[in-house]
Amino acid sequence: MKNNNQHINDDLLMAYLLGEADNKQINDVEIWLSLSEENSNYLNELEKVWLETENLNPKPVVVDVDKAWSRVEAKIFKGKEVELRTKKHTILWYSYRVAAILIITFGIFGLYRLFNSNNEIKLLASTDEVLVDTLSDGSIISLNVYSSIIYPEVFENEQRNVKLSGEAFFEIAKNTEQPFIIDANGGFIQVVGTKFNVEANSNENLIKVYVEEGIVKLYNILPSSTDTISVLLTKGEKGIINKKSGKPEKLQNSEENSNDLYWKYKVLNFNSTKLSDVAKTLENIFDVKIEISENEKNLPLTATFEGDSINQILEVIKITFNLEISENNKKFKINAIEN
Amino acid sequence: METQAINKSQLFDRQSYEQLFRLHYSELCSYAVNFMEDLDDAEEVVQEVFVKFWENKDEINISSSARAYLFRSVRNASLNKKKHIKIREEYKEHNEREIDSNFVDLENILDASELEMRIRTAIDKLPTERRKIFIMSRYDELKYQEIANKLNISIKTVENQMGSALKFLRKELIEYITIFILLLMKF
Repeated sequence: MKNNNQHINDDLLMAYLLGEADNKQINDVEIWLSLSEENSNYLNELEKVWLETENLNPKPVVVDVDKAWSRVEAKIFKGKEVELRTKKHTILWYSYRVAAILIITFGIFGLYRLFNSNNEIKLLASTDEVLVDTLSDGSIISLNVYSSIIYPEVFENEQRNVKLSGEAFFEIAKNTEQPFIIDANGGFIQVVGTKFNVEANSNENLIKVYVEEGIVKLYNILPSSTDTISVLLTKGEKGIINKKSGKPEKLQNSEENSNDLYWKYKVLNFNSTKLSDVAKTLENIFDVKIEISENEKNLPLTATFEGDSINQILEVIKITFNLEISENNKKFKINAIEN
Repeated sequence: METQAINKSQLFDRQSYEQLFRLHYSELCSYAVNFMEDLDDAEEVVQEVFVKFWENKDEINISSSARAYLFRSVRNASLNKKKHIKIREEYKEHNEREIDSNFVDLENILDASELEMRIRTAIDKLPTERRKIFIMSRYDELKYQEIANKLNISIKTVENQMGSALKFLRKELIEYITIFILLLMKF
């Protein structure tokens, strides 16, 4: 393109055509146009092309043809079981929850291994009882109710890979050569040798991890940039992986603590904990409702309960603070004794 | 456009098939998106059609052009897939009525001029970012600032990409556009 003004380029001409140019720019372009017929012809040509592109129906979409071809090519010529979609969840996933978890898990992880070795794939699934199992490397897994975990008989590779759905507590045998990696379907948790709890429920948006001992890494690979983002948690820390954004985060000021592991140890610890917070914890664990009158909400409780029922715990609270507790069908009311 | 019957032996070697794929993939996806709404679903349908086409090549008897066959296959595959996804009867009926009214006329597409095909090919040749920006401006009718906001880039970048896009398109198309206009002038 010939022009006498150095700064008149296609960017400027397009902006002019589309009404995006400011007054100075408009002025510059119009002066340039008036300088020679060649200039105005050039602009006309740009405009013609712009107008011609209007008539495309259906309108173009942005697709990656190379990627698409490599998928189709693989399916046709290499006969691999290649997934044509990159989306993580298919429609089936949402309709047939548990079956889908097992099928998809086997499809991605188990079947591949099955075809490649004599190494058996094991599935541990709990219903209404906590299950405990020891893996071939000595790691101990406690599965909370209605959870499942899939793992190979023998950990053959550079990593120890398992896949979790639900909640489990892990005591991982230390092996620095072979990191232990949990696929929580939405994020990954990696450790070398530690004790920690993972909540990976398929119907929830967050994967929650609580570390009792050692160091745990939460990470995810972002599909858009293929960057890996990770967060390290140590003893007493809690972290989450947000399934929607894919981002792992450490939770600051998490008010909960070892009581998260109540399901495993049946131990509750309160250390000057406000009665209202105690009630929240009890509500969650025992599936009850507790109402506390205003003046009693901030009473600090220091006590340890081991294997006690909700009634026993409330009895202790009643005596400690000299309160009245009434019950109506799993709804408890706590208030001061009327004088 | 492309009214010769397919010479099967020509079409079904790997190289030619890849060329066929690259030539039509983008416009088939544009078409499928009318049915599937979601671009990922549309791409999946089109890819499956290409796989099936290859797999059934010995049984298929095609008298029209490959392009026409592919478009019709994509339409059928899309409608089939929609049936499996939407379960409720009323929704299905409602949906079919909607498809008919929004419908991009298949016959118009199959009648597409050579110029239109060249325009599509030229747009497909643009590098991804540039193509995305061009499509947002031309077809989504977004202003530069809106594009910049959506893609988290500067307006300067949008200006620059649009300038480069048109520069490229002009080079690819001006010959055909001029001829087209000359032809018009003759009559």
